[in-house]
Amino acid sequence: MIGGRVFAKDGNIGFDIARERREAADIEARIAHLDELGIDVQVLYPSLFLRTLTSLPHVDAALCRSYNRWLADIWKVGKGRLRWVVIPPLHYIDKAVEELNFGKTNGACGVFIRGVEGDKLPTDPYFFPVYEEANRLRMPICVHASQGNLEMFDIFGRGASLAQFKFGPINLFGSLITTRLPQKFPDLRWAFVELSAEWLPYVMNHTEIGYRRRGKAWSDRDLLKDNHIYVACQTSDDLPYILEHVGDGNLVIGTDYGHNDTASEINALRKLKADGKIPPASIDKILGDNSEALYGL
Amino acid sequence: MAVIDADAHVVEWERTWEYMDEGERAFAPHVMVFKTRCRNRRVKGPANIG
Repeated sequence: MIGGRVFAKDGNIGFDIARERREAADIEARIAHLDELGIDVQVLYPSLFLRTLTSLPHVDAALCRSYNRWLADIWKVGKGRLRWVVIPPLHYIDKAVEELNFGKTNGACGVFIRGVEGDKLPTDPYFFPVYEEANRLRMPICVHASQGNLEMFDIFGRGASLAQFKFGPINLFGSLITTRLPQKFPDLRWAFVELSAEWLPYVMNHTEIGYRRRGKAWSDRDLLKDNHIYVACQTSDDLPYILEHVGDGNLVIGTDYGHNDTASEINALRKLKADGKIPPASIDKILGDNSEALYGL
Repeated sequence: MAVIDADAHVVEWERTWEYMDEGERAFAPHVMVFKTRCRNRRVKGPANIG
């Protein structure tokens, strides 16, 4: 319970993975599991923090700071195989910038942000100092399936989890394109994670219509590349269809290790290879090269 | 080529909050165990922290 709110911990936990591995209580055991799965490096995202936990700025800052130090300790023992995304306490921009620097020197390879942050979209200029610092530190902004507004969390929690966690980040993708924010920070990379990838053609079509109405040029094929945006796909996606729209240079893939929901697939990386739905060169990019470029590994 | 899991998770537990400064300890999440399946909910009454 945080601030009078109860957050269910076991809602989407992957109980098929031993507690000491999913909680990184036994890092050696987790790394041994990576060896079994044929994974060289994992990029660690939080669980509880996928929703905002409190509207109290000082409480949020204390929670973020502690989480980031815990992850730094995991990284120190992880032999370079457990990298992570730092969680900035966004109520305080100066503290957020400090946390990015702490993360950078302690194994973080990205900056976690939600599709909505409180009463703001992440395209709001309020966040620009964070993007400037991330750009300087060469850390990508990583938008994970998430909910950063407690009222939306409650409202959309009554229905399917689509709007509760997925639609905010997807809306942010469209907002990045229409506001041309990536052009303001031309070296900054962006990631959209645990949303699958089949929404891309839908959102791109929606955005393209608006562009063409205003007489602007549009290119599906180069949209992700031109905006330094990477999207995590799933093996359940129609990957040949996705590749036809966006190419293979900006897709990555993950297991959702530790969770049990619509994106979880502990053998996703092996399955992508075994399925053979897309060319081997594309598989290699999605399994490794693209993630290396995204996270600067 | 390195194989990279671009989306993995850690599940927060008590240790996650042990890095709080002494003056922040009251803000750490309180673990509650329910007899029935727990759902996200708002507890009536004043917030317990902050």
